[in-house]
Amino acid sequence: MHGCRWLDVGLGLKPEHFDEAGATQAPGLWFEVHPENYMMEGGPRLSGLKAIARNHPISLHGVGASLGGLEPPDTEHLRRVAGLVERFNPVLVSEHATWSSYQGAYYADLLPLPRTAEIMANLVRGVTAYQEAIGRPILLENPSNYLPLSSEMDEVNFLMDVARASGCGILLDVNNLYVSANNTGLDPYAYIRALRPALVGEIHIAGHSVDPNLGETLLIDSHDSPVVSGVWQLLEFALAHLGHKPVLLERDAQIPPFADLMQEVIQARRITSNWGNNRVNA
Amino acid sequence: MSTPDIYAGMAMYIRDREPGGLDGLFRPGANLEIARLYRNGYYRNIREVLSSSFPVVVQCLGMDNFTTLAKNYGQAQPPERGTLTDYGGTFANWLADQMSPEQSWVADLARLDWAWLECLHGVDSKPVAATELLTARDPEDVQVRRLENSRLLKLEYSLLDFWTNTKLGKDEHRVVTLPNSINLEDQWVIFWRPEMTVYSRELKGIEAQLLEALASGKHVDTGGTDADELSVLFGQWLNAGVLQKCTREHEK
Repeated sequence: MHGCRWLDVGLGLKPEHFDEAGATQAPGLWFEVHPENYMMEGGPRLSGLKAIARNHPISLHGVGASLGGLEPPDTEHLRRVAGLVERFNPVLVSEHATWSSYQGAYYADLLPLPRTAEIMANLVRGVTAYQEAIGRPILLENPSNYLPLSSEMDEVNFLMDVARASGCGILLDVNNLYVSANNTGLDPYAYIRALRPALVGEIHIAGHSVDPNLGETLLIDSHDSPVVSGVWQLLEFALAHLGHKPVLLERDAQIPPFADLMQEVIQARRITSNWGNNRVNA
Repeated sequence: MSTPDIYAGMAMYIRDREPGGLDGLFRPGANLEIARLYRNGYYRNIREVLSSSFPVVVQCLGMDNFTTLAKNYGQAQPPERGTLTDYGGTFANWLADQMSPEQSWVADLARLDWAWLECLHGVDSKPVAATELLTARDPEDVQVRRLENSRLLKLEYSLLDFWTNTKLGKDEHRVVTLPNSINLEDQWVIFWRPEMTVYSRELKGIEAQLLEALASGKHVDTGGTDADELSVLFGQWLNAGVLQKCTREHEK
């Protein structure tokens, strides 16, 4: 982490909430944004984030670097991310164990990576390039899976091997885990138990939706609804195993009033307060 | 399936809806129909960013029609960078080729939407004040240029008023229609942002020529322009905050 600031529960920040976010003071409150939404030269959005950053810790959660791509990450993209890191000195920087660019086209979504040795090498290369560009280690987020991938190894060990090889940490998204467990049958509790606590630098929670055609058999990582009870339970279990970690509530669609999101933040804080700085062995 | 085939196959599936590209990516027996989520996600993101960047076009065409256009544009000219913040720069020209002759004006609305957005996201520039010019000790400090975030554009139709009224009266459930009579004359428009609000104005021909020349602070040929008219224009530009001081960087 950069800066000695204690992070408790944070919130994904949207421009429509800048004023309220800036005026809100709560111990351990922090905000996270996608750097890709702030890659402009100037204007009110960038200015608004600067104002927030004066009084609150900010983290950058990238979505467009295509770390697991066949080709290395785009150097211009890395330069722009590095510029934002320099400008905002975020407390955390993270990206995804996915890919999105191929032969000069950006496919604007987080696409699945089969877990093979060759693809692991691509991902390690991508993470390393990103870290070198910004001058610090990042956290790598576990993906949401909609279908079981043809793979040589399980996801949790795949991610930990990438972390060991590249020096990055892990961002554990428990909503992604919940969605993946439902869709592909993985055991989310075994997954969390297998994680080395020292590698995990952040936890994400979010809502998801049910596929209109296939119902509950297919959950979609839509970030458009409140966190469900099963995800809250996974958060509790994760904190029990991993110890206190910064927790971030994501909401990217059907954005409710800021006050509603803060109620979920408060609910998350009730859970994190049980774990403080002590690690409890599960 | 080789590693390059994995990426090529998913790209082909998203772009061309060709499911054969997914063979080997997922475990045998997986319901490949579910992979539509990745394709849908891509086109949804394209639609969302383009509808946000071209709100007046959306109002004029309706969201259903716009969604089809956005999807076609996403296929024809996919984003190239890992951010969608600056995606859509070619949309207006592409749109011009898609529209019927009766709707050719829509491309001009797209040009206005995009120029406004570029101005909004442009470099924060500090307009020069008259007092700075009057009290300058170094003649180099008296050189001015158009605000770096300003955007000058020439339209085929005089649509600024219609665009402004539509943008300000934004109601995403209302499809607006063009007035029966629109001026078919060219129109020059400038957008500029002295602080955090974007301003716009129609320009007379000579104004546009002079402001175009003032984009970089290079020497402006005012030959033929009435000196009084030039003084009035310059004063208006100063008051409106359209001009900033040149820096050494601008002169390169």
